[in-house]
Amino acid sequence: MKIILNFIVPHETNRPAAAGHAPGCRPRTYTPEPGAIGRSRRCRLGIGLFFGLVLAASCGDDGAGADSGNGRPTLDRTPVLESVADRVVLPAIRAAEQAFANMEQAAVSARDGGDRAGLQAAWRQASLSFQALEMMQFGPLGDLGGPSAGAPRGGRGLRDEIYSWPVVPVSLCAIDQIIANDADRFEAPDFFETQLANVYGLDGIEYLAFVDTTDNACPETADINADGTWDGLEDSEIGDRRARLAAAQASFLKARVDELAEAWEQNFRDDFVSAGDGSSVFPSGQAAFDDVYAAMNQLDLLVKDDKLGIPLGIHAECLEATCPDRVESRYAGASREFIRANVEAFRRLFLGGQPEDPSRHGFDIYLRDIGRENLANDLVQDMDAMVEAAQDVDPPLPGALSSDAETLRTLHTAISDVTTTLKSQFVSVLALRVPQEGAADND
Amino acid sequence: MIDRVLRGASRPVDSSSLGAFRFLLGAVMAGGLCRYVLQGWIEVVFVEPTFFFKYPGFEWVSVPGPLGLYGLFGAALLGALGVALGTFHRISLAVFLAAFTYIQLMDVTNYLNHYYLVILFGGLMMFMPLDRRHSLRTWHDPSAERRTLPVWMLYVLRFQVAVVYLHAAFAKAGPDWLWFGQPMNIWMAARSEMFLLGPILALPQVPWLMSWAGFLYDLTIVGWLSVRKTRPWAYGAVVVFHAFTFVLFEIGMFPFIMTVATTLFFEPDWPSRLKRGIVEVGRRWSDGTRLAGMLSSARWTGVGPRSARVDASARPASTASAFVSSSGWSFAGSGSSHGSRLHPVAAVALLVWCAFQALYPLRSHLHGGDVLWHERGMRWSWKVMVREKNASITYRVEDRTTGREWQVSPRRYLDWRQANEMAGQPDLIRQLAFHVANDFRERGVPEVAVRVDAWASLNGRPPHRLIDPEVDLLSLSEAAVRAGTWIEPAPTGAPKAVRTRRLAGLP
Repeated sequence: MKIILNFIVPHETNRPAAAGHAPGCRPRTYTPEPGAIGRSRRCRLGIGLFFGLVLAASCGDDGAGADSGNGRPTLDRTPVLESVADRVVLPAIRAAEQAFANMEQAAVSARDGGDRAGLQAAWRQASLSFQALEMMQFGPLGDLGGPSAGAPRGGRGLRDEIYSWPVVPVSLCAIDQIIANDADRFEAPDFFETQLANVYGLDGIEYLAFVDTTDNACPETADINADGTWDGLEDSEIGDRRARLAAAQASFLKARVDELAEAWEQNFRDDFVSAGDGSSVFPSGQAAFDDVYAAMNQLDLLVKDDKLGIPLGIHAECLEATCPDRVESRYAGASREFIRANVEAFRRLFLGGQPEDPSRHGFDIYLRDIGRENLANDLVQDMDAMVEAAQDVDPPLPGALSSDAETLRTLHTAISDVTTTLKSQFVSVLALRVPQEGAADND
Repeated sequence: MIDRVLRGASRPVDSSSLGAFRFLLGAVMAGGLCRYVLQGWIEVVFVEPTFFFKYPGFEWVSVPGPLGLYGLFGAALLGALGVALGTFHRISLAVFLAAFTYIQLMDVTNYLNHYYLVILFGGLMMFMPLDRRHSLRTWHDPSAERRTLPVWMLYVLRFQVAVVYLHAAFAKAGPDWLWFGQPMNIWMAARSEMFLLGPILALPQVPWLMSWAGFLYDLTIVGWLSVRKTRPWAYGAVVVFHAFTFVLFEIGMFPFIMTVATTLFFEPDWPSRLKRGIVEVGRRWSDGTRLAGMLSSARWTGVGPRSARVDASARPASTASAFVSSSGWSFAGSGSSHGSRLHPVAAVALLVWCAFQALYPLRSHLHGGDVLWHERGMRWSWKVMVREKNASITYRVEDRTTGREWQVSPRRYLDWRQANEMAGQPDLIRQLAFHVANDFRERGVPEVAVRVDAWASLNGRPPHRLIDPEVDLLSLSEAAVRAGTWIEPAPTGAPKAVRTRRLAGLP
């Protein structure tokens, strides 16, 4: 330090130096001028006053980091993360694991001559279970690439492997081409790993399980129609191949869900709840909050915009009066149930569990702990209204687009109320960072 | 009187600190550019987005393809290295300035105060032969060395640093920052898990103390740095303050730039003394003298600044005059340094520059209201890290022919980062409205009105309308834009921070 000081400040050459010491470098034996004692005392007094203030501040009974009065320490993100992991995500994954196993079983049964209705029912259950996970696209479900690429930490890209709608919607023609051309290959273990995501997934199985015609979805100019390959197939052969492809896809999807479960249970769960405390994935609980917040944005992008706004003609992607062809789950007609599953799962994610669960510790509790009761109450109230509005939608989409558009618009507005607060005050109060925000500096 | 001032401005001063500043600033910028490339930010910030916000008057600036981008960054890097090394100084600086400024102009959402500062430094350095000391040029050609330069060069750079700090202090002088400790309260809560510091940052009064510390630091640091006795402690405070900001905030190169820039307040010959000191330490170390003895040795410290300054200025009466008379760089007139004076035109230019730098950041006061809300006069004003603002934006596009209305999310055109940056800035919200309208025209809806539902939260307040939802952003007159009537008034309530309010004595 002395060396540095020597270069910053020139020594007072007119000050008498103690023998053997540098001018300005006061040795222990140096006798200070009388005024220097006063200055030194004032300096110590000032420093003491500052630390006294800090100490007094730290002893306050309303201190953040201290007990908030309800037995829970404030500013501790771990209870929220534990609650989200153990009461929301893991139960949803386990439910999906079971549902996807049932779907595989039903698909194999249908392939072997069983009832197609069984596969349809199993598909509904599996899809509903996955719709809950749609609101939880952080960790292994999320995209690859990490925060700088706008992806969550620990992402493995599993979501798009299981269900890629609407970004990469399934290509029905591509599926029919596989039916026609690859019947001897599509049951190979690595078949789907070499295919684009638009030929498999929950929407792929939906088509195979619910399509009620033996026609294909390709234009006349497509190879399978132009060269007569499709016409050369018996109706029963088409049915058999579709059942076989559905079974193969169901096995592939079950393996992906198993991979998701394994990733969460073996490592990611612990990394998530120990964020900032030994986690190899999350440098802080705040970073884990960031990723959960990014996942929460699916309510805005996926549910409000893609599932409701576009089909309703509210959003600019639909310039017609309505766009029923943009409704999710067109073959099974499950869009309404999917939206309900989405908004309920979102509320669970925010609350850190079921609303009636007394042990949950969600973001609402965290907000109250840091003195943001109004924000917590507003959000919970808006979420309840959103869930209620989703229950009011009847009949299923796309019929409701014309017959019950007002209810759908009410739901759209209810979701807007939640996302507006989420994107403005919620993100401000918690100083959350949106994806890609790291790809730049502040000032 | 004027003659005395002009002559005083040309008074020779040791060029050592100016040469060191050139080297350090060039090195920092070269490092910053390397960091930008290595982080992959060129792709994220410039390659992947499909829309870029333009600065008024610079709409012609377009974003080149990946090859052009890497070329641009490469040119800026080469320029910065040239500046640091002091080789082909004028060309290097011009290349750096051109490329770096172009990069900054490509998208408003990338605006950073400290990069604006670098551009200003670069502009000033174009008129200063800072490569005449501590450079490759003088290493190759010792006769090119100029041991003194006119003192105005040092003073104008110091002034530029002072402008940054003082305006940063003025920007903090409001109730949110000083009374309610916001947004520091929010930021510190988000950093409560930091190693060692976290528990302290989580204390409820610390944000308030930090707000005041930051304000007082910005307000007074130039003064402390200017006084010889307080300078060591002031520079220590500079290092600590900027280390803090580096650790606490993703503030990029700002701490490094300011830590370098504040060395301008040292004695002008500090690098020479540092060099001599190191040589002396090395010599004594190799002689086997104990380090402790050396550090306290009067003989070692005898190569002190005053003697150094005498050394520096005694020799160069001739070198300075040589510079003044031969260099086309300087504003100084001809003649010996002691007899020379700053050219009146140059003096006027400097005065205009300084007046502009001092006054332009204050223009937000002409608009009234809260600049953190309406953001008019926010850029180029050193309002550094003074607000936490997030907004939800939904455009409403009306087909004027049919009355049909659609909602449009900015995310349709922007990536996450851009959408987040633009959401709180009304001028950018308006700019994107024109792009939305163009998109609709291309899709067969020629006559549209674009309105916006913009809800913003400032420093943690509840969402408040930022823009009048009835205003068609496309049909605003220039007068209306300038008047800002389309921007809703700022929320009047206090930002909620219970613990800070209690410390401030509020209920």
